[in-house]
Amino acid sequence: MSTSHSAEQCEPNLVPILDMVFQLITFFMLVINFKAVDVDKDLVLPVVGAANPVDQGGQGDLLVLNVRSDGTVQVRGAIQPSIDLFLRGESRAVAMLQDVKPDQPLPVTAVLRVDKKVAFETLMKVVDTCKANRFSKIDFVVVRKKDELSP
Amino acid sequence: MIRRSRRRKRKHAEAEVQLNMAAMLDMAFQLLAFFILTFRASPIEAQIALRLPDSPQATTSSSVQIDSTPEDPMDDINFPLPIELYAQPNGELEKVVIGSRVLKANDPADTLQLFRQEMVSLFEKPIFDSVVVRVGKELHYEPLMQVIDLCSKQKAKDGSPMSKISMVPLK
Repeated sequence: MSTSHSAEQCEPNLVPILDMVFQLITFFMLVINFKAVDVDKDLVLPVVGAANPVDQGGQGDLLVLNVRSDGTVQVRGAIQPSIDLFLRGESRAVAMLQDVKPDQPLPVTAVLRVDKKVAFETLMKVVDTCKANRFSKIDFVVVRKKDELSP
Repeated sequence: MIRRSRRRKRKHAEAEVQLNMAAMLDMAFQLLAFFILTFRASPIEAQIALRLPDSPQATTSSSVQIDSTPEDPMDDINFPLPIELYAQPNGELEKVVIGSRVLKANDPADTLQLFRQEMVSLFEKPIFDSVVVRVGKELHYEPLMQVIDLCSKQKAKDGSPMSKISMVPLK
């Protein structure tokens, strides 16, 4: 009797657990944000109520500028020592690649993610630099209030 | 020869194909651990699109006196609502001036509440088609956006949501 018990092999059914794990992996792969390089997670954005959800459809290309509380500007994961020089280069590149005439605005929206402690003077310097370099479409990113998420 | 081939066939039929599930599960758990550790739920972000003036001088000339008494015949007049935001040295909102009306409280949140009430009473009958916000240099971005948010909630003269909002530095 005891010999027959020890001879039996006890194998757990791994198929359901593997199925569940693959479902979890699928979930995390779908929700992962590949644009995280553009976004400075250290910024504390202001919380307001009436803003519209970010709609990237039909906006064309986006250039995300992260303005930190100390006034420095981070773009694509790197702090830009001179935002004017950077935007000038971007402007030239976009105009050349998309064949935009010198008197036309660029088909790129500058998305400003600004820390809530940034002073208005600093903000306007960045806005003016954007406009001087033909980035005329400017959006301001905020965090929506939880109680006003529904439209 | 025939006997040998039959034996081989029987052997093949009896052999079970067994996948090594443990190795696969191990890999799957490693992937799962990676995704769980790198996952960071981000807050729901939104955007405010403003119509900014071409040059700061373009909108700084007007100084409109507001009188919101209902008998005033202001239906045919198109002018922007001028709002001035003054900042404390620490960047908080000190006071709001709408025309000649000064809104000020001890707490910036109360000042904002006063401003909210004033905007509701001013826009009971929409008479403005745009808003010009003159902002103190030191004012932080958060109170500024809260004011802009309150302005964008109002209705313009044509009944559409207020979208013509300008921001210019306060002199």
